[in-house]
Amino acid sequence: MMRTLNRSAALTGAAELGYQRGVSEFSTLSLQLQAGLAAARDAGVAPSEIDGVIAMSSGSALAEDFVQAFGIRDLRFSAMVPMGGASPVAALQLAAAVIQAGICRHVLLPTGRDGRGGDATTRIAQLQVFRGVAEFEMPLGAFSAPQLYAAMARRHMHEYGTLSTDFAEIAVAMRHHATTQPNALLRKPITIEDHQNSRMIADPFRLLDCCIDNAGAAAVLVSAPDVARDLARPPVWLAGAAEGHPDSPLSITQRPDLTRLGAAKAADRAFAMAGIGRADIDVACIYDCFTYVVLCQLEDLGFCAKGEGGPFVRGGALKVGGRLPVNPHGGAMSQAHMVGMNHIVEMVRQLRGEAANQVAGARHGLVSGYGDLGDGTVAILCKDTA
Amino acid sequence: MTTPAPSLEAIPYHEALAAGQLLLQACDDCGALRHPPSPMCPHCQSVRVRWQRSAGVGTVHSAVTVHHTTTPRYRERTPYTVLTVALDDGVRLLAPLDFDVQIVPPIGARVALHFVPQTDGQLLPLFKNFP
Repeated sequence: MMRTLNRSAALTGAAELGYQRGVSEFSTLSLQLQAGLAAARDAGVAPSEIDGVIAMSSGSALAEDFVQAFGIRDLRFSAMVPMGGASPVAALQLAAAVIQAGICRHVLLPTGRDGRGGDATTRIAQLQVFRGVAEFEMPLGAFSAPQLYAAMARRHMHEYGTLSTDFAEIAVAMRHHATTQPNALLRKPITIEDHQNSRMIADPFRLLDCCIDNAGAAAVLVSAPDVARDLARPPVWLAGAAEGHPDSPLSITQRPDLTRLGAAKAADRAFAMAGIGRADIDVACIYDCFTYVVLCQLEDLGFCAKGEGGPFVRGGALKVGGRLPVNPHGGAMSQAHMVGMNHIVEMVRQLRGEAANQVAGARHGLVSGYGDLGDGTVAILCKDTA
Repeated sequence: MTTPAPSLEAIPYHEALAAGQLLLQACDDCGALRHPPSPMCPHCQSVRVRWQRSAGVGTVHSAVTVHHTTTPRYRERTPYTVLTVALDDGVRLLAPLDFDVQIVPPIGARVALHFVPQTDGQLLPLFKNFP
C-alpha cells in the first residue's frame, strides 16, 4: 500500500491574537499559551486533550510549558522544526505524520513573540542556520535578511528582466487586502508609485519590499481524521505537504542558481500527494518576508515558469478576483509577521468560508513557508466536502 | 551584535584574512576547492585539507547596495555595496566594494580583492575594479 499524508489529518482549530507594533503587555510565553488555548477552544477541544506540541525552535515556549499550563496528563510527542519562516508549514507535515503513525490525536502548533527579542538582525544572527553567515559574511558587510536576500533578487532581475515595479505589484496587492482585514497592522492603501518612492533599504529592496516586525501570536490545532468531523468547526483537510531545501542551504553566496529556492523541490511532491494541479488552487498564502521571495516562490511552486514571475504578477493578478489570489489577509507585508502561522490561520478561514476577504467558493488552497536561507515548505489544504 | 568564535576548521582562513591574504580550503585528497571552510569535502567526503592562496580576482555575480543598516560599524559607510563575486578559482566570495567607489560594477564586470587598513587598524578585504 502506498503511504500518503493526503487526508491523514485535519486542521481543526485556528487562532491569532494581539498583533501590535512595539512591545506586548504579555510575555512571549504567555502569548503562545493564549494563542494555543484559543486554537483549542476554536476546535472545541479541551486543552488537556492535546497530546502533541511542535514548539517554536526559538525555545521561547517549550512543550513542557503547555503540559504545565493546560494540565496535559500524557504528552506523547514534542518537537521543534528549526526552519525559520518555513517552520509552521513544515510542522503541518510533521504533525500529520505523527497523527498518521497513531502517536497523537491533537497536535498543537503555537507561535508568538512579545517584541522584546531585539531587532530582526540580532535574532537571525543567533539562529544556528545562520552561523556560517555570521562567521564569514557578517564581518564583510552583509548583516540582515534584506541584505542577504537582495542578492538573489538582483540576480533574478539580471537574468530575467524582472522589474522593481513587479516587486511593487506584490506589495500593493498585499496592502490592498489589508485595507479590509480588521486585524492588519498596515491598512493605508499604497500604489506602485508609493513603492517606487519608498526609501532604499538594500538595493534592489525598498522599504515597501520588506515585511513588518511586530508582536503577537497565532496557533493551529491539527487533529486525527476520526475525530475531526466531531469537533466544533468544519475540518480543513491536509491534502499534500512537503519540505525542500535549496542547493547550498547554508550559503546563498555559493548557491549555483541564486534564483532557485527549496520550494522548487517541495512543490511537485506536495501536488502529487494532493492529486491536484496548480490550476485547481483557488487561493494561496505565500510567505512574504520580501516581495521578491513571493515572486520567486510563484515560479518555484510552478504557478508560472522560471523567469515569468514578473509578467505573472502584473496588473493586480494577486488580488482577490485576480488570476491567483495571494495572501487575502495582507500577509507579513501588511497584516503581521508571525513566521507564517498567520498564513495557515488565514487559509483555514478561507476554506471554512469565513475569511474577511473571502475568495468565493474556495475549495483548494496552498500555503507556503520560506525560511532561513531558502528552505521551502508547501501544504495543500482542502475544504471539507462530506 | 557579536562576531561568533571562528569554527575550528576555519582558523587558518581567518588568520590569513586578518594578515591580508585570502586562503581557500582545498580537499587534500581530490583537490576540490570549497568556501566557506568546512569539515568535510562535499565531493569525496575526505576530512583532509590543504590551503591555497587565491589572487582574489573574479567576476561580479550579484550586488547589493546597502542604504540602511542597524550595525554601528557600517552605518557611517552607507550607502555601500556588497558584491557576490565568482572567483576565478571556482568558488564565490562575498565582500564589500571599495567604500569610496560610487559606481557599482555591473554583473559580469571583473573585480579584484585588495586589503585596506581601517581606522581601527583592521585589514578589511574589499573589491576594486580590475584594471
